[in-house]
Amino acid sequence: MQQEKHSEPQKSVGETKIYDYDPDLSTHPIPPHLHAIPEQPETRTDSFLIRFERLLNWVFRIMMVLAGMGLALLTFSQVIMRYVLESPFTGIEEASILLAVWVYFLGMGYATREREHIHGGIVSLVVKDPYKVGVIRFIGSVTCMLAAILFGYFACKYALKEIDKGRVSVNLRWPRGIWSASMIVGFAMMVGYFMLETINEFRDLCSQSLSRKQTRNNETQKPNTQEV
Amino acid sequence: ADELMLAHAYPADHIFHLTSTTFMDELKKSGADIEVDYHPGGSLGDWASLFEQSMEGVVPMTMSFGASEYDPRLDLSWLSYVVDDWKQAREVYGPNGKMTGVYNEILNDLDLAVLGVIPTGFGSIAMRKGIEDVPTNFPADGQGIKMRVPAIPIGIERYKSFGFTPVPMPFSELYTALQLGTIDARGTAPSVEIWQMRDVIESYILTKDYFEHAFWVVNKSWLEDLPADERAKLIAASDATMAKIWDEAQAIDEGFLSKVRGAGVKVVDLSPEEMNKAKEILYAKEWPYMEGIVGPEIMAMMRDIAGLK
Amino acid sequence: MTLFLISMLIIIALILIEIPVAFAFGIGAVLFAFTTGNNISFLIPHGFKTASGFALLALPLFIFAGLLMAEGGISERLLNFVNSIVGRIKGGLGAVTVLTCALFGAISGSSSAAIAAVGQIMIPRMVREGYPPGHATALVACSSVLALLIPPSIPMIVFSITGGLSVGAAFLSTIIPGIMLTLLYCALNIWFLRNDTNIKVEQPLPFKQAAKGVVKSGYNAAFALLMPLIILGAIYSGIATPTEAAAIAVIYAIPVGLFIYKGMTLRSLSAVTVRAVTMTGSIMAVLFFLFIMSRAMILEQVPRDLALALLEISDNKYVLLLLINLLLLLIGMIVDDISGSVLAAIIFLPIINELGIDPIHFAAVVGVNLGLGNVSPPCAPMLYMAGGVGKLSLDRYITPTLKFLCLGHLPMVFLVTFVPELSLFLPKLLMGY
Ligand code: NA
Ligand code: NA
Repeated sequence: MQQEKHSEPQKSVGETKIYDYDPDLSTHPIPPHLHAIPEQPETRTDSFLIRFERLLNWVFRIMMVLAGMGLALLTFSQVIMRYVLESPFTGIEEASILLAVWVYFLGMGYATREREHIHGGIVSLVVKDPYKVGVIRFIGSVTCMLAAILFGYFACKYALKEIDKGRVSVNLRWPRGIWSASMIVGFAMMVGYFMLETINEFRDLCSQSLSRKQTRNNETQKPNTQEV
Repeated sequence: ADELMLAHAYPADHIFHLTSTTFMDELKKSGADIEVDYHPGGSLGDWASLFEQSMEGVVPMTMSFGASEYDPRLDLSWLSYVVDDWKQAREVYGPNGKMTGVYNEILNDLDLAVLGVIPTGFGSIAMRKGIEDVPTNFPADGQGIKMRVPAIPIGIERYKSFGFTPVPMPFSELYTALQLGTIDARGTAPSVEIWQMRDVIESYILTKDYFEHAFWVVNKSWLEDLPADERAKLIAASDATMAKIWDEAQAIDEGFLSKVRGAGVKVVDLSPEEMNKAKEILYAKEWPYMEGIVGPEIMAMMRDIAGLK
Repeated sequence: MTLFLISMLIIIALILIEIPVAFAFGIGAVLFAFTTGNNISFLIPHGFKTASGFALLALPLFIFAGLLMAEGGISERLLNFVNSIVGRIKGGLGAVTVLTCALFGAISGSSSAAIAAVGQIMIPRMVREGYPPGHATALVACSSVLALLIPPSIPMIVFSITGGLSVGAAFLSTIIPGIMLTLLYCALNIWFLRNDTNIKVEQPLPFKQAAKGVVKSGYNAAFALLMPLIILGAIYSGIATPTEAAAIAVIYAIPVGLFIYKGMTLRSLSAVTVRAVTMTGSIMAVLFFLFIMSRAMILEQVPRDLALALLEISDNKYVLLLLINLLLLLIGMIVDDISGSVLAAIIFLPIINELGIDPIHFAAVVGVNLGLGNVSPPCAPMLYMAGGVGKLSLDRYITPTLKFLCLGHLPMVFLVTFVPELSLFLPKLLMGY
């Protein structure tokens, strides 16, 4: 079978982003959202942090691939075992839930990094001033970060209690902590990436207000609102 | 008034609901100053989750099965062929029976007090609609039949001993799996669960391989925090409830069985020889396995109860 | 009740300022539970326990399979084939989308899985063919509910078992409403697009040439066409459960994408896996916090109190039925569909029995209402999911969604409520109910 030519060049599914609006689909008068990870370092600390994050990111991605692939393989093997081997693996339900919760929480954390959390909203419809939009987004990110800290606190409390009490799963007799640790990692990622996003947005607001002042002082200077 | 949250994971035709409403009535009659906030149907979590919530005191009172996740010894409640009939069951598991003490000892360690053991009836196996086989002679008849078991080690152990191919499968997939034939049969089913799934069941084979019972528990710390007279009223109300429940439980169980018959499900008894064979298999395989979990002391007592030497 | 209303307003406000829906639910839930004096320590553990239930496992697998199909070139070929059949009808692809959602309903009982699997394939394709993106997104969001109406349906199983009803009869009760809604959405889709000149419609061809095109694209799509056959075949022959069938789809899509259609490399395979996990994460976040919000509401007995308050208004059977519809819709908005069906069975079924309404008829009423609650704003988790998959902001798809709901789903709710035969015909015919 021959490979058909795509009628137009398409991005790989692995690279597409949800909330970076596709300019082909819709035009937006306001600047795009800032992400947790800035595209360019501004200071030396920045570039060090960005390199450190790149390492973390690599670890997260490997964990995600392992959990995702593992889940598919394990569920598939259940069918094979039932028919071919006629001997079920007792702990298959527990093991697949283990992989699933890691998929869920790594995914939640990573969705924060990629700014892929599902959201509604009408800000872009009502507010046209980029600076005001920036302020609203900054408030939103701070709120999310605080909420993630609160949820994360309860998640850790629960997970640590399970680990502390030495609870084990019914079939595999594995410590329950390796299930609930997914929550700790997930919420830690969410807190961390919301914090980075907050910092990014704060910097952007600062530079926006700075350039506004300059504009007011010097009418000839062009406003610099699109800085990332 | 003190507020008491009572939650369980079962519907209105389940004995848990009857127990709950009876208890609420008795509590009102006793004049206790306790307001019950009742959440049936699993709206606050499944039975294992509610068990944990009672341990934590979040939902102080629940009715739940033995969640061996929190103590492996709770697997004891699934042990096969301890009692033969309802009369024996009441002597062993009922009010003032031997087992209440055993269970209290286990559950006290989890900060729970046992108010009573609630019977749901003997658990048996059922074949899915469209399958004519009626396995009664084990292990020969079990060959090649894919039997759904709940994901607990003893369930898999038991049906393997009976010659089936055990398939661990969560309850949420069970109905569709019976309908489409992903499995051929299901085990550990009291008559109420056959009634729920009557549309997809051909025959119900009364192996009666265990007596299903649940724990009515209350958080111990919560109970101890109650004023002494309120606590006494609560205990009295629960005792009165348990006496009534054991009176009615058998009738409810048999009621479901006759409804199951009425719905066209073929109900099959094992002959005495087949029953003895089934028991011998499990005494030889499952009981030593259980001894490894709960220890020789408890198992000696169980042997005594079952009349084994 | 005041605290409930305030919490709802806060949630809506948070959603409107573009805070992730998941976090809006979470914040609202914690605030509500805290201010009403309920124990908040078990909210997060409850979310974790419910999320780690087996019933949700099909979701990540269907998302993964859908992305692999898109990346490997499977969806492309499938859609080329479909387009060779319906491409000459304006709105044909939209109708195919609706039908695919209905067909997906026969595989899975989860509307989020339907959005993830169907939406990510159909929305971009419809947009490429010139459909307004908002229309495409709204169409997928609204049709995703069909997964609940076409059996199997997990909420329907939970409802029947909680209410002591026959699961089989409850399944049958929503089939005719499900099919009618499918047809209604197909028709509305074509009608809404009738004056749209941007949509690519291929020139009509003589039959022979058209048939040749179908055969050619069918040949090109042979391995792709096998995929839905394998999934449906595995489920309906009893080889695999729906969850396992999703895993089979993943395992099948990888070699086909890598070696046969060559749309994928090992490197992009790992990128797609990361993407699938991320997408699962963003959907699970919404569900996770929705479970938490459900619990906060149920702990305070909000659904029950709402019911008691509204039911005091009248004792006329039809007025009560209308009120119950309204309440079910509200419950569908504030809790997830499984909690919603538990509550419907516990709270309303006794009332329904007293009114002399057939409980199986009521099962269908619950089915259509909870589905509607999940896609009607402001608390519309399924709708926002579709927006996420369609890469659109709310303002772009809200209008088409409301049009679909008001002209499609809402009339269906009234029909099902007031014409019991729609839901009772099949159970009577096939089960002698
Ligand atoms: Na379905
Ligand atoms: Na809604």
